[in-house]
Amino acid sequence: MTETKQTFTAKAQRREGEIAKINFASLRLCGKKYFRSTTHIAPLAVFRVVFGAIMFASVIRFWLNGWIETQYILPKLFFPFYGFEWIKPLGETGMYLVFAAMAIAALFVMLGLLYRFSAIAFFLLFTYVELIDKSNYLNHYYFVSIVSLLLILVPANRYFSLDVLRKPSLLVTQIPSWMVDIFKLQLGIVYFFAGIAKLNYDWLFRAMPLAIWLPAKSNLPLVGELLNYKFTAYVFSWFGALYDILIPFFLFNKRTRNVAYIFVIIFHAATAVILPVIGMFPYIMILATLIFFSAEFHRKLIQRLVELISFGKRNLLNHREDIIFSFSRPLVGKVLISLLCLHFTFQILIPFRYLLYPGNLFWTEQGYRFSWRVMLMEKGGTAFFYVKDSATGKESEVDNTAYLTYQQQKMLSTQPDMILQFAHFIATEYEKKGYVNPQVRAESYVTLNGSGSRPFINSSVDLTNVKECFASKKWVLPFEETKLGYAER
Amino acid sequence: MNIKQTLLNAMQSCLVAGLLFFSSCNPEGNTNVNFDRAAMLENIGSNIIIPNYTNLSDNMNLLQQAATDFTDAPDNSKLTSLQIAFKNAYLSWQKCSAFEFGPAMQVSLRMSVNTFPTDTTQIQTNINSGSYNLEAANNIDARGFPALDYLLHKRNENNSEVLERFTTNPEAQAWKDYLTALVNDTKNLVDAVKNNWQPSSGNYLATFISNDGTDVGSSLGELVNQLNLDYEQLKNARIGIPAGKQTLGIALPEKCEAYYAGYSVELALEHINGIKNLYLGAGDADGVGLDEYLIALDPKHGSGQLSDAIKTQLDLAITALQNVPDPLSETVVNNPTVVNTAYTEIQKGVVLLKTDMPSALSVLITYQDGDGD
Repeated sequence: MTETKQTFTAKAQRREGEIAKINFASLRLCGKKYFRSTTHIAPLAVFRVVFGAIMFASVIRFWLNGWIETQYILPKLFFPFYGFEWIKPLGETGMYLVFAAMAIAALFVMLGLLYRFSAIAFFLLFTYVELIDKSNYLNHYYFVSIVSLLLILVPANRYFSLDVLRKPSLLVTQIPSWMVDIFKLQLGIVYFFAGIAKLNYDWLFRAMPLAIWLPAKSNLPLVGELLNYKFTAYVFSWFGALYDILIPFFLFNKRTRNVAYIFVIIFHAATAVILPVIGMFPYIMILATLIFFSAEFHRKLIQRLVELISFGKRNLLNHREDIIFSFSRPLVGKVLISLLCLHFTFQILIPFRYLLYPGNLFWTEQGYRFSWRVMLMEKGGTAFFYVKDSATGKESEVDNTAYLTYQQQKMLSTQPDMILQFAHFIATEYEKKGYVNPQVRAESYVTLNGSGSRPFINSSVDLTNVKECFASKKWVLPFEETKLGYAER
Repeated sequence: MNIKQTLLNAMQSCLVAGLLFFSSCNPEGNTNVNFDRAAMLENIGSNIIIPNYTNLSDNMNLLQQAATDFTDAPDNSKLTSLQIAFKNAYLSWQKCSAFEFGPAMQVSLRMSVNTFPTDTTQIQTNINSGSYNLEAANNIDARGFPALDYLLHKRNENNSEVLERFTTNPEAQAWKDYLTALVNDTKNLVDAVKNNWQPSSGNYLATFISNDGTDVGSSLGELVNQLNLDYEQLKNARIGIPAGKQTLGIALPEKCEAYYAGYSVELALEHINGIKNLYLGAGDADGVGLDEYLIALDPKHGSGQLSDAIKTQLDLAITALQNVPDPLSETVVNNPTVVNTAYTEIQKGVVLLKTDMPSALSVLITYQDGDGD
């Protein structure tokens, strides 16, 4: 009930005055009260519809672009994530079936049909596909996996859904507030961490990589000429950092929400136009952030939608009193809350794991992924691999194009863990060709934010002797920024 | 209202402070990029691509004429003329092979006219059977310049043996027919591409100039990608593979371009000069090219400019190649050191052209569109 929530919020605000007096017991009480508070289910239902719809569109788009074939069928080898090496693609028929099932699952999530099953199916299928090859890793894919996992945990189908139409006893109008808030928190984390990731020297004081990316778009109508100015890159960099850090708070605050959402639309539309290949990310964010709006907003939205598409003669919203959601067993709720606490703790810790590694994060990329580092750097490289036959001591250069797609070559040349995986693959491959105990070394030249290409990998190291692990990769050469220097400093 | 006001004010102040800071001290060289991509594309299209295709097409006409003269009444002098006409055409192809987008992409020109080493068994089968479709997949290495190279030359430079194929050989007519078919096939492909570019017919030039963005599929994107692909073919197919770079240092002389005619290095030099001219935007005179674009963008390499680094490296590779004597097929065996030196210099060029240049131009090295975030 919204009233309940408002009362709670008011109480909570009053309590803020006494913040100094808060002790552990009152904190517990506060938590207990929070987890007992309820809200209308409408925001969750709208979120389910919107998420299902955009996922359906994304899968279809992926299919029509021919990417199932180019990314999951044609490649001769794949780069699974550490610990997930057992994940393998399923071949042509298999992969098309996976994507077909994924599209149907997304559609069912949208419609709220066989919800729990379709939500689980979507999460598993999507995550499976993302785990096949890390050269396709994108932050927004990771985000989709997390959101679809969270969606499994909440009864998003118990309002404005085909499941309710099918089985009216499922209808619920009030759910625990946390079931909506977890999505806001997750979105807030994405923005906030994307923002603090931008607080680095290159981004703020060299306007990198925007100073490289913006002039490339100077053929755009109206704003094109502006993009040629370095000044513009600075404005965009600083605004982007501030936007990412502050927008979750502005969205959360009722009084700033409307203005903030206009900013969300403008910001993401601008990134869609100006940044190189950004894909579906802006649209996902524009739609997902709708969840910050009030329950009343979502109720009205659904009301209008129902008026538009009248579900036969029955009116889904024709209920007099509130029906409050309850878990079949209270323990389930408690377990869920504990698991979610654990999830969000990890969400906050994972982006900081890079602190455990020495060296320049952008250069070594140790602890780079899964941290909402979006569009942060301009990095490119070229990698050469050499295999030595231990019997003769002679060496061959590997023709990368014989094994790798262009996308894989591009991603691999700048990411040490992929270089290592490919080196191991090469060793096996050349052993089959008759090379005795093949030794593999890599020579990669990488440029980072306009640094100019420089050696990336210690090319004297035999990578077949190196095992993948979480320890720091000593065979990645240090960036040596000061030694090689940016010429303009 | 308070929180909102405070936060908005804070945001505004930060922004204004940032702007003032950067307008007063700009830490990095030039303040804006002043470059007209469309003008660069126009220069490259009008003064490099079209003239090079026209030149190739003209040389194909001469080759066709020489082939007709030869097949009408084969003799030694006509064979020599034909070989010269072939060489001129093959040389002029070298300066066109980087343009594998638009019209050339449509007919897979590079693969159709210059897949080497050629398959002599397949050629012999075609000649024997007398019926073949050069466009069939199994004939991809039995057509174009490499097939003509085989037909018109012997490794021992003994022209009387070549002449024998077209005269006293019982299958002489079949050889002549195959020669004619190869020349016509290559000429038709070249003419189709040339016409598609020319403003008077297909006018791809206009498309090329107007598609002046930097995305995958833009003219610049395709140009940079194909320049790289083509330059890597110089490194691998023309030099590296024959030199045994992929085979434990064991040379594979028969993998050379123009293996039978024996002027592989001459062709390679023409090729890399074509790459260099494309980079410089140099047709008859130096015009606006990728180097001018890089100068405008001002990326650094080491202590100097990237634009200079690339030019210097291409020149070093050219010099190193000039030190490699033809026939390459013998040099890779007798004097691998000079070949290795040339190979290394070419490879250094790969790094600059494939890593530094696309990064500075914000062009993706990819031939397929992809997702991103």
